[in-house]
Amino acid sequence: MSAVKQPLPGGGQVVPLRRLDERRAALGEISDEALLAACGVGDSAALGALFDRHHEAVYRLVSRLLRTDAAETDDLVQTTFLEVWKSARGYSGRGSVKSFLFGIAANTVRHHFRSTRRRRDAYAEWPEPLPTGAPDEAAVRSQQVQLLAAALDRLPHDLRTVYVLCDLEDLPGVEAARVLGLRDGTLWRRLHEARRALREAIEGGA
Amino acid sequence: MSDDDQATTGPDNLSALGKQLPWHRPDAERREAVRSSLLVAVSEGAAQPRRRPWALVGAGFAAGALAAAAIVLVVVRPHAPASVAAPQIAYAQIEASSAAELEHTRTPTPTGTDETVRIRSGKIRLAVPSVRAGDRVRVQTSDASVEGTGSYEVVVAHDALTSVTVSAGTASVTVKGQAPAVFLAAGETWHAPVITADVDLPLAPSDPPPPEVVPAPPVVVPPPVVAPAPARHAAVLPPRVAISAPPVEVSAPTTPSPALAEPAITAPHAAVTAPAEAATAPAIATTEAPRTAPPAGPTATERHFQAGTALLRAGKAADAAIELQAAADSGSDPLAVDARYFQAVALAKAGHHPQAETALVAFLDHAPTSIRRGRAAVMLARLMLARGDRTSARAWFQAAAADADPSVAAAGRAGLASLSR
Repeated sequence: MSAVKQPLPGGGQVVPLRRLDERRAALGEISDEALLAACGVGDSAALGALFDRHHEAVYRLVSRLLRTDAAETDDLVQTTFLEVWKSARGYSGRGSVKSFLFGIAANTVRHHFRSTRRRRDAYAEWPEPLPTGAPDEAAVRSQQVQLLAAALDRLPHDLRTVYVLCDLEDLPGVEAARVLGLRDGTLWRRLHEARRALREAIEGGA
Repeated sequence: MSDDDQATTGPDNLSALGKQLPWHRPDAERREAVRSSLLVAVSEGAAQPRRRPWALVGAGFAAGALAAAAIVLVVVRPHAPASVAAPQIAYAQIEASSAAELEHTRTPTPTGTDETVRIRSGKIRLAVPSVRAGDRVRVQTSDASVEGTGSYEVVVAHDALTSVTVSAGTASVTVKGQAPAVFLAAGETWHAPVITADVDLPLAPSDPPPPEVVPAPPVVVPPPVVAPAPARHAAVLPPRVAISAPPVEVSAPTTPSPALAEPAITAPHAAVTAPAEAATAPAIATTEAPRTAPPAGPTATERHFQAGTALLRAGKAADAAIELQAAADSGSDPLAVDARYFQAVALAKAGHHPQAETALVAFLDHAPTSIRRGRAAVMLARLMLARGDRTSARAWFQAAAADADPSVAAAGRAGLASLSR
């Protein structure tokens, strides 16, 4: 990268985004790690760039971890990126930035899930939210997908988180275990249990 | 991994199936709303996102009411006139886009306080509770003021009020020199008329038109209309503002960038393309006199821009080009960028086509999200075509054909058709 680098108080270096912008450097040249480091020193433009890059993945993850309405999903995604902003200095460089984001998102959803569990239990009889009109929805509406969605809703949140991170977001097991604070064996056990439960639900409903 | 996982619905199949699960894919507006809200929260140093402004307002006023009740109970002054102190905090809760330029001030007046949000550009959303008698809360631009209670959204471009959308409560819009005020109820939107349409021409009249080029469609200047807002605005105070953040990517100078193909529409276009039923919505006029505050003095950019557009309207294209160039060179704000566009229009009108081409390239280079990119692309393509550069002209016509503005897209397609003949 051609931009001048600045030393950080805590060590390391960060690329000044605004200077890059002035030089009309393409945003794609800046790595996720550099953006996260820039977040750590208070550059909100870096957070915007990180959001632009990863918001879809975070939306997808949050939606699958907690099937809820769009507004709540928006709130959770926003909270996730705010946590990223606050935790950017704590990024150790182990694992990808995407894993870092996913870990924060998973924790955010877990806290939210726990805090709203009582309310959810109270309104358990409420109808489930209808799926929104995504463009590819027609192709998605197969019976198996519906069964899987229903089974996923019934799955305990811990198992669901592991399944979504590993199988749907393709996060390596080692990284998933680290961002969730689990031992490898625990993660693989949960993943196995989740898969078995989902498989039984699908085959039983077919 | 156990043998169970290798059954008919093995992990790979299960994974493939799971990836088809629907999810809340955010549309562009939601995405921008979250992004803007996020950046506002970060810039304000907020620990948590401002997701429940009404809750905050309600809690604040509940606390205030309790405090006032306690004071009344403790301090008994039967002979003294009851005087209610002005609130120590501002009434208006403001959510602003990251690109918004505004000042929020509170000025004591003989009757109470005058709380003014002076905005020059950008989009803001205000939540204003009922104000004490004698107090005022208003949004001020150089050409208009908006005053209301509830929740409303104000869009301002180049220090001119562009649109007002009321989500809850009511608001009045007072445009200078256009009494009476227009009152808006929840769900209604006011759009400003397009005032630059008469200079927004693709080519100078004296310029020989390129072969088989379809003339630009006429732009009609509509009167201000009050349109019903979409249903989603009817909810009480949607928590975020939706506006694009400042672009960080700059296009190459002579080739169309992807940004050109993206819709970059702001409120002036919305006024032109407002749905037909919008014009039939009732606008309740009153005889209330306009109440405006003295505007801040214009900047050098504003002075040159206003002089340039006035000259352009008067038909003095060459002089207009000089003023607009001065405006374009005097800063890098959106007005200066727009000035570059109008400089190109003026140069084209004056017959200085090479300079107009240069100005257009400069404009396109510096305005990746401007609403005028499409028109600039058509104009540039026609200039290129006129001097025989069909390859470059085709690229710009193609870019324009993907523009969100139907008239621009039609002009782009017409240009491509003329090239293929």
